[in-house]
Amino acid sequence: MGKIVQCELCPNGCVLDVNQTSRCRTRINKDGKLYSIVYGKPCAVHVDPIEKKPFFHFLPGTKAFSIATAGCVLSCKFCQNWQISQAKPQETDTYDLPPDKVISYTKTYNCKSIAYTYTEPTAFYEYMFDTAVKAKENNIKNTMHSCGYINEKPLRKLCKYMDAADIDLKAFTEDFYDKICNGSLKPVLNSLVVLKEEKIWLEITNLVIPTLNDDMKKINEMCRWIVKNLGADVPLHFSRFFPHYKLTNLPPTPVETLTNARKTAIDAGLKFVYIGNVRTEAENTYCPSCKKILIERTGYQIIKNNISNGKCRFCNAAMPGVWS
Amino acid sequence: MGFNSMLLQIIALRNLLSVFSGNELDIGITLSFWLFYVGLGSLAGKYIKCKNAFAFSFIATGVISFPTIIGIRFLRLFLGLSPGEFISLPGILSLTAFVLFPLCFSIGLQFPFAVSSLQRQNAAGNIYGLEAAGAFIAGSAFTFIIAGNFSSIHLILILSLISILAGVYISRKRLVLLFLLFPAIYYFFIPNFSPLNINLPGFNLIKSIESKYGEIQVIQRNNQKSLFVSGQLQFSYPDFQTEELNAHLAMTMHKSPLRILLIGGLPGILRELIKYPVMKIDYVEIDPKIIEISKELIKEDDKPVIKDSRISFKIDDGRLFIKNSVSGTYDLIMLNLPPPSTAGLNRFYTKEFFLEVKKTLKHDGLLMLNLPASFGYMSKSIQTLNGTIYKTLKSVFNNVEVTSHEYGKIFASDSPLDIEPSILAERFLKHNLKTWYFHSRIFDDIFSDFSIKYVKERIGKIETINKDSRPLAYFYNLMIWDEIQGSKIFSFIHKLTKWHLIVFLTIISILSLLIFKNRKQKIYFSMFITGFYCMALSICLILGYQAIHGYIYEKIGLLSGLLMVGLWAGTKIQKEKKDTTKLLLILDLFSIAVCIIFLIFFEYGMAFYLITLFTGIVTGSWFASATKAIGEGGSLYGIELIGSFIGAISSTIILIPLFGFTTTIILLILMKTISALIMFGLSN
Amino acid sequence: MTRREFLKAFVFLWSFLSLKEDSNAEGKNEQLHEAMFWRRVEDG
Repeated sequence: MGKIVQCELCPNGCVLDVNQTSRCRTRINKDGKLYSIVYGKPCAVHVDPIEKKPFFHFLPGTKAFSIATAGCVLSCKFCQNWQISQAKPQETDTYDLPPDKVISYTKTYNCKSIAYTYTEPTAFYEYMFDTAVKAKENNIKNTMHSCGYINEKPLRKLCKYMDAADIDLKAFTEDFYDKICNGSLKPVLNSLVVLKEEKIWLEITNLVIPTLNDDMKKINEMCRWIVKNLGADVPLHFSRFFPHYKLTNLPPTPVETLTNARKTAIDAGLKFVYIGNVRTEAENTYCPSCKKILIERTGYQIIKNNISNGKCRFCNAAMPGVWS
Repeated sequence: MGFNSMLLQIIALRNLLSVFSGNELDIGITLSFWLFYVGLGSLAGKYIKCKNAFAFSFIATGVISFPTIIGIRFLRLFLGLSPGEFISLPGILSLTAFVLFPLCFSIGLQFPFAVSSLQRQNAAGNIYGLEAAGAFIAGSAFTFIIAGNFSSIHLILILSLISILAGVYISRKRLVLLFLLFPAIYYFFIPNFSPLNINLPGFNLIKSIESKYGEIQVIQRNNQKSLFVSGQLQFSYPDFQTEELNAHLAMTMHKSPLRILLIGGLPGILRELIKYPVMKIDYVEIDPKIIEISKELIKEDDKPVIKDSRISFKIDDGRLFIKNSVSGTYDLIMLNLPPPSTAGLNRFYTKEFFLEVKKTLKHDGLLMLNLPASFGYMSKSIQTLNGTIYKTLKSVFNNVEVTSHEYGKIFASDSPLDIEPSILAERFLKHNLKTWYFHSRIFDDIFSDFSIKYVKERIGKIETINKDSRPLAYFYNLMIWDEIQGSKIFSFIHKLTKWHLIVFLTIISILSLLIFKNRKQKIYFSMFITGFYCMALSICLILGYQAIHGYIYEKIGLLSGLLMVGLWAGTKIQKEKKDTTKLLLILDLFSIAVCIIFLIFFEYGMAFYLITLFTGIVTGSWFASATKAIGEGGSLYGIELIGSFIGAISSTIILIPLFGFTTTIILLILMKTISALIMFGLSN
Repeated sequence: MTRREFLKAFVFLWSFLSLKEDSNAEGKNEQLHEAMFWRRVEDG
């Protein structure tokens, strides 16, 4: 009696009977109480350049201590991290790394920030939250790469400690979210607006998949929505699809599609549009007012940085982002 | 009948493969269901008694075949799958089970009907033999003439026409001619599209040709073309990211590579390779049609590649090519192959193969191959597969180095390998090349200390070695497949040990002695064992053969043809002996002898052909003698096929990969011993 | 041997094979930590 619980963390809203596990596989109802089974138990721990997350306007050239546990709130058929996101926490090899240890490792490896990444950090919310609180006390920045599939209340609570978020806006149709990810678009858009309101530094990633979400009309619509609701300063990263997980028989994205998408986004008014992994001007940051190269990048490496005190060294225009 | 059935089988298989974008497991599943249903059909045929049944079974087959093939092409739509999405194992199983049933059942009916319409002494044995001969002719006709010349849709129409005409001929009724309307209607509705077009909407199909090895299709979106073989994505062109990573990483890892060997796909690599001062590049690909298409693809954008006299295209099986190369020829060998998803591909990941590579390389030569990549966390199945390949390489080469797990490359050499990013960057910059994706800073990421340590620690825990005689990597690849679907079938099978086999066998033998009391049942049971034996042994033979002598389509066709000839010959040899059970006992002993010959003469070229022939002969004559002993053939035929079904499926996915050839064959010997004991009991 | 005995043997075999899997289900490395953001669902 009364032992059924409902999780209110993400829009999935799993209703769980005793001993049942949530869809994200990280939460279980034990005798009428909901528990996280991944707290302090990450299975992926790495030191990555912050550009790899990708964050292009957030402490460029620094390293991020990156952690993730198994589990994810969505189940996208193209997931490149499926080995971690679709795994069951009980079946993965994990590290024993409570929040305190994360902080001390971050310092040891000389990282300026902690990144909650690889899989969906909402799935390990409690672990992320406690670590973020401790990090803030220690003057370490908190960043997350998320799909934005989280309810408003927990997101606002987290925002008090989060410094930056990179959100995957996977497509701009409900149909795509429904068929490919088994989720919905609306909560993601809502999260983006909430993050903007809470003044968290925001970047957006869009994975362009041939035939599934590469319609330029929709990309245009998406970019105009971003400009209108989040502002033209939000950096947008287009990334290239590779056959992964269940979509192993779909060819990778033609580079031409990505350059078209970038052009569409710039035409829609976005100021900072990047394409991952192609050696073109699309990986550099240009000053929107004087058009000079501000940050020259090669892959995840910074070649030159012409931003000082958050301003363009040439024309003194303020640059959106977190630079120190 | 055999001719018809064999061709239908090949066409159905090829179509199912392109729909499921399949691996070898699909072949196993399709064959298994085929055998099982045909077996069921022939068991059922015994109970159906009506005039002209034989003729009508032909007509039914003719009428059903076309819708079946069309049905197969539309299967993916039923599942509501996304383009390019792979189908889960339960999906494949249930759809194959569903779509093949009507056709296979009606084919199965043909055998007992044929036997009862041919009112003669020992008809079953004769028909069994003739059917095998028909299948042999069809198999070779397909390999040498039909493949590459006819589209499967047209072929199926012709077959359905032949079937119905045969029905007309047998029934000798003109009215039956009306059934010819069916192929006519079908012809009218020939859908002018290929499965790829249905399954990948939004891409332009720009080329579709049949080759011996499968249906090759090229699709385009924007400026990028992608090549599919049997519905499976092989490579895209241009794909600078993949091409440049492969080419430049390999070229930098070796100090000065002059002689290069490339095995398999990705023609864009050639464009990158000729930017270096190399002497000669050999590009080996087994399918001449793929080379042809690759050349066409590069011709449009990269003309210099075709004109470059340093590149030579070789049509050969990669493994055979390496085996026949002069020792110490190459500085660099690059394998651009998919992971060991089939037993055929597994040949490029075994210890024996790596030894051949080592011989072909110069003393400071380098081998580079691909491993499945992972991001953030390396799952257990990928850890097991990559670890096995790592360990296998380490058992052959002095130095083996890995990349960070996102890049999924592994290098092996007998000389020390540099993985210091600054040294590699310097080496790369020396050539002053213009690239789109690759750059000198990438080495910091590819060989980042933290990631390398993680990868080595994780895959270093695996201790298994992949061998020709025990293709474990192939099984581990099935485990990855399993993991993607979230099922656990293979990780469960993985836990099976030899003890399970022993216990299983003991239970079977005790049961068989207890359950089967009367003579007929005992012979049925032994027939089952014989079917199992024949199929499992021929699979051992084919896999063993292609590991040693290369995957040459004609030769594999010849091998299965020989089995059929053996089966046919077997039905002829049996003497007019009264005591058939004694003969069966002798045949069992012969079967055991064939296994022992296999174990001893495994390595010798000609042995394969002879053993295949003998396998056919002992099975064929076993069948013929058993029909004599019992006096009818339909049920025996069915039971044999069901035995074959279980033999095929268990040997391809469990016995051979997990336990290896030797154990599998010893198991067969034990099973045949049980059969021999039963026969011994009967003859006394 | 009757059909029932055959069935028994089959069940034995099956339980033997599945025994292996059960023994493996143990040793989960799960650590419970009370979750945030959830509620009890009232009956009915």
